[in-house]
Amino acid sequence: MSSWPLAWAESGERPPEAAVSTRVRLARNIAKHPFVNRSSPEERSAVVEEVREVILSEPLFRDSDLYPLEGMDPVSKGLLVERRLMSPGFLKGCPERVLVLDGRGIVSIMVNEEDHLRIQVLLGRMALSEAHRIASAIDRSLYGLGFAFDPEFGFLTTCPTNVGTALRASVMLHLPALKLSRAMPELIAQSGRLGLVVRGAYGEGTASAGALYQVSNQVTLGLSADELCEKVETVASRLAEQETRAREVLLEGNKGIEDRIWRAWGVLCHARRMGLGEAMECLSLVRMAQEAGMGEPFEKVRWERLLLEVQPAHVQVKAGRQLHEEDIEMVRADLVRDALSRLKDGPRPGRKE
Amino acid sequence: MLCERCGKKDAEVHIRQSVQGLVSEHHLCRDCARELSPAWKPGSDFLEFSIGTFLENLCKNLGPSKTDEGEACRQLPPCPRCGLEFDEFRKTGRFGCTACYDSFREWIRPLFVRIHGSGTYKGPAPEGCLSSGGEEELVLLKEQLKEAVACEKYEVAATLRDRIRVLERRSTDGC
Repeated sequence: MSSWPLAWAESGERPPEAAVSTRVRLARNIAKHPFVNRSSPEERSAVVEEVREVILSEPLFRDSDLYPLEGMDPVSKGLLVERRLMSPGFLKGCPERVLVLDGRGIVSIMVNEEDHLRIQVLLGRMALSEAHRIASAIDRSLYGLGFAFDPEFGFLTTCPTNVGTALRASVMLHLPALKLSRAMPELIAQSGRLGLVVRGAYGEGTASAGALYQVSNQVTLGLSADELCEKVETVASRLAEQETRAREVLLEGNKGIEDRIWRAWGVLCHARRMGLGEAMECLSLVRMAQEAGMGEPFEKVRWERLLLEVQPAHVQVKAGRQLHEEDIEMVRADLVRDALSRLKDGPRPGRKE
Repeated sequence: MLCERCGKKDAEVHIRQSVQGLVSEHHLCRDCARELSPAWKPGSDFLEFSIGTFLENLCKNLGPSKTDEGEACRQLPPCPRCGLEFDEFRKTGRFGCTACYDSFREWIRPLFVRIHGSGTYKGPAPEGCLSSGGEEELVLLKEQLKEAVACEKYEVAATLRDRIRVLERRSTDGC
């Protein structure tokens, strides 16, 4: 599973630089069945079977497969969450949870999450209209299931915060300069006034590990899906522009920041134990250096890939077994050193036993 | 002014939200505001709201609770299809099935406006538009109406009759 392609982590250099990935999620329920929270195991199984039938017969899903969550080992589940192919909330729930995954790591469908179906499309960089176009095509191909729809309220969902378009459009942004210059709380408040939410992609509130923030729409009713995507993209683009300007100011002759970047590089290259937060902070600074054109050795770092590889489940897959937290930190440090030493074409700095 | 959530204490926290130019205001007492603000810390007067969490918390405790409207809410018949009581929806903030939307339509409209700044969907309808109603629900509602009339529960009967009319009209319109 860890070797499967993942489109968003392998995207090219399309601007803006601050944009890491794009996600569009549609919530859908099958009208004839009660919602997941009030349905019986038999009814939830029936939902799975109806979805399976469409997946197996619809050409759009020829590269897709169904994976029941029941019985799946914890590391594989963690891997899917870290790759953003399923929500952390999907880890818990009824036994009839099933994940539909396509072969390219772009489309995933959570069956029996909070709603019967959560259709997700994940792309690299900022590509909301493209992601929405793909999600809409998937959605249309599933209309045969008989989605719950009301002319006044739109698509009907379990939670009233999703009703209407039932669309959540989001862009993940890397905003280290705005975070370092403490501009994020004000920008988060401004985005809130526009009906958008900006939150740490890892961690809560304004304190986001690795300076990764997610911009998404809060409202789902009153605006069309296209309008919501456009709004999110506009605000995400403005944040990316502000990040560019903040970097110019921050990096201009600032020896303090330069020192922090080189220290981060030192930690990545030499540490023997590394917590997740520390790894993400260091990688964030290295990415900023890379994008600011600070040259070797930063320009060779494959940031998106490393960002994934330092996550706990990915570390355990690399180790080939389940690990305790302390061991995860050691293996994490090993794998980061290994990756960076290969970039430098130097000898692998192995851990002294 | 009393707190819109508990209806008991004076509202001391006033929140103004503007979505798509539509301004909505929330007036809460200090205790309710604390409960809805996960960032609040004991001893602190500062309330920091993540608007997403705030709205989710608010809709878990929606609707009028002290007025005549609140009483009418409590007398609403449960959803004929899944049996969800409106009071349970108020507590959990979760619907049980598509028919809940029809059962509580009049009561959830203001909630949607509070959450989204609008109560109306904008966008295309899916092909083979399946509304929340349907033949099965109409039959159930008509049975409930008969029972309500037999027990002389005329207020309940009036609500059921209105819902039946809406469903029948929608069925005639083809959506």
